[in-house]
Amino acid sequence: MSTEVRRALQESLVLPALFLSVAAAGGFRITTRGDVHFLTPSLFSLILAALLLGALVQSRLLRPNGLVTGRATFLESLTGAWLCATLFLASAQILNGLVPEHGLLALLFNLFLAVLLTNTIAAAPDKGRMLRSLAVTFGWALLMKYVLLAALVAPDEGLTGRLLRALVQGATLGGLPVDAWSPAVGYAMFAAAGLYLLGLWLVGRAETQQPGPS
Amino acid sequence: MGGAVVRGVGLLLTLAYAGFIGWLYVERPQSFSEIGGGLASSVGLYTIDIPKFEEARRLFHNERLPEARAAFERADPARRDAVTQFYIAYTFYRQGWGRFYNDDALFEQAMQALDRATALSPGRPIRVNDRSLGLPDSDSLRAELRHGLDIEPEDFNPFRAFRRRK
Repeated sequence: MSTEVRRALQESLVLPALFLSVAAAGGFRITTRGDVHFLTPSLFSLILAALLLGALVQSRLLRPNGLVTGRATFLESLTGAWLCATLFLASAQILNGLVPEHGLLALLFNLFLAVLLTNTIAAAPDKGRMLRSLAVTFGWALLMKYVLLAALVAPDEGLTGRLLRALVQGATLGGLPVDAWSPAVGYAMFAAAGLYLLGLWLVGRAETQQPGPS
Repeated sequence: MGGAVVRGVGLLLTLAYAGFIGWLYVERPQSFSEIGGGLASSVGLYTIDIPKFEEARRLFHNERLPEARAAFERADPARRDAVTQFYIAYTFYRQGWGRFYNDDALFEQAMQALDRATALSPGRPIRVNDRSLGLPDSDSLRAELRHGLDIEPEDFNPFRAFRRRK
């Protein structure tokens, strides 16, 4: 397989399919009773996704100039633009999936992510640091939402849940407005976050192998 | 040339995939069977389970309404058949109907099932050829349910007790 075909395959099929899968998984929720929900991204998630893409561009992990403009053919520009669009959708949905769905906690999570992303843009990290920073952010968000908060609202609370509830009761006036999803949602979001990071790594790697005009 | 073909095919495939994901988010199926049924229905392959449907109709005619409803649900697990959904609405209507007052919760569920049924048959009412039904189409069933849910002067008519269930 020639380098051109491999790059075409990656840009037009593998990466868009991967990012679309992440976008689909980001809004997927299933309740403990088995009811399926597909949640569209909130306005805040779209703004965070724009910030995230800004951080990716600044770290040169994503180079829209090399992907869209300055390409030899219109089809190459089109597939590059399509890849950027799927990356934006995946970013919006993965961030949508990592924060609570509503209430004060959703606002706090979103503000926290906005501060982190603007700080990342200001720090101007390189590709490797950008990926590591995102992995740490996603990891903590997953841990907070799908392990700690999920333990608080789980119907059959374990030791973690009892300990957390004891701590939270002292700090809040009432219960936490968190939806009780099936544990499968946490696993799906973990896989989606992993796929998203893999996709970003592949995008950055492709750009390194064949750099376009910056 | 090979790269251009790959790009074109890849673009088409991922656009189709994006279309499927867009369909999921627009239709919002509430179970995995609804996803499967919706996909099969979109390519004309979805059919209800006829023996289960006939069994459900038999239960319905014998006034075993909750059992009939469960059987109708089993016959159309993806909720893609307008007639089956109409019958489900009818089971809620008959179960909720009362000589002196109606069960509003059951009538609301009837309305929801009827909404599902009419959404599957856009532009024309659903007509069912079943002599036991006093309300053989979706428009008349909807009107009856609305009368049941709304508070009207007719509700205070003492002769209302002599009305018949349809």
